[in-house]
Amino acid sequence: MTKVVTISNVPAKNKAQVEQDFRNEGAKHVNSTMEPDGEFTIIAIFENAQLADPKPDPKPGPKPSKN
Amino acid sequence: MASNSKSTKFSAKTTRPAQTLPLSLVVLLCSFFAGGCASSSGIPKKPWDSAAELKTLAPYLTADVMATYNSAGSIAAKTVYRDTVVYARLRAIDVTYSTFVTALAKERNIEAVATDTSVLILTGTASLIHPASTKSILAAISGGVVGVKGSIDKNLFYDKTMPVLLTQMEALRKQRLATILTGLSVPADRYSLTQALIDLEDYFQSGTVPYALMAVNAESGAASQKATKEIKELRTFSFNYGAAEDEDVSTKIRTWLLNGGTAWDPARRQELEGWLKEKNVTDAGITSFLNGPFKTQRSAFVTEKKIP
Repeated sequence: MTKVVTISNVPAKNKAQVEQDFRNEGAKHVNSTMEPDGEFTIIAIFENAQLADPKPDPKPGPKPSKN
Repeated sequence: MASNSKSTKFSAKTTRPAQTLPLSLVVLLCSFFAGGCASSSGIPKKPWDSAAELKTLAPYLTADVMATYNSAGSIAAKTVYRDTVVYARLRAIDVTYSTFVTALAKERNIEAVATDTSVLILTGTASLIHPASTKSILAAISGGVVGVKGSIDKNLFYDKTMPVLLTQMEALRKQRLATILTGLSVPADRYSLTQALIDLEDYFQSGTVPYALMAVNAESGAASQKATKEIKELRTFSFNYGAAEDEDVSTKIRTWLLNGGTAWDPARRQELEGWLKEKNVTDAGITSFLNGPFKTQRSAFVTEKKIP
């Protein structure tokens, strides 16, 4: 099972942290490319990833009630 | 003396053809390598200019397509631009792939014919020419040609391996194309240009010999893996902290995950993954949760788990 996760528009100051997060999570490969505006797109590849129930699209969960 | 003189004349006459014959052979070989026998490749000449076609696609092959895509504004505009870029790149990849396959076919046919012919001509010619030096020159050339052919063993590669690899490439390309076309059937917010570019790279790689070799190896050694369903998931997010205080929330969760160590605490990681699943936040993983558009959910997690 292979999972590819991409996070784009990462400011330069946050690049190292996002890369570290991916590595902590167990990514096999982490690659960064600079966007034309100076921000970064970071791509992580996970091998043998455990995906519980693959969903067609990522959806934000229900918003917690503020009341 | 007369005899010597005659001998000298004879020698002069016989060495001239020996010096000119290789030149004529070179011309003959050059005509093969220059494509003089194009029909032997089995591929007709294209009625249009592939290089000129690639030039017209150039605006969509540049590195700044992401910037244009990101500045497109609405989802509809992004979708239109995504489709244009993807179709242009698909065509460009197809043109280069077609050129590659044509070159392979020509290389195989021309090289085999030219090499075999040159061996026959050179060795045959050597037996007809008397002076030993000329014979040895021609035999040396012949030996060189045979040596090159034998060391590479290209005939075996092209006859046995290449057809398998080309079939594999075609199958892989069709699979990747299906993925891309499926993606293009939904708006850009569900299949972004970034995802499409990743799939296009896959599509391109599918038409390469190393990729096909890997696929053949994987398939031949994995008959037992048929039952194992490979799931390839693609998830794309935009970095989103919002305000500085939200960055602090992510930092709090990271600190909580580390639990005083240098790697994430397995128990806490499991706890967070369980929470993400229970709340149906995302299945893309913790990094996406920490850095993606889940500001509200991050705050909820910190509050719920009473993370200081």
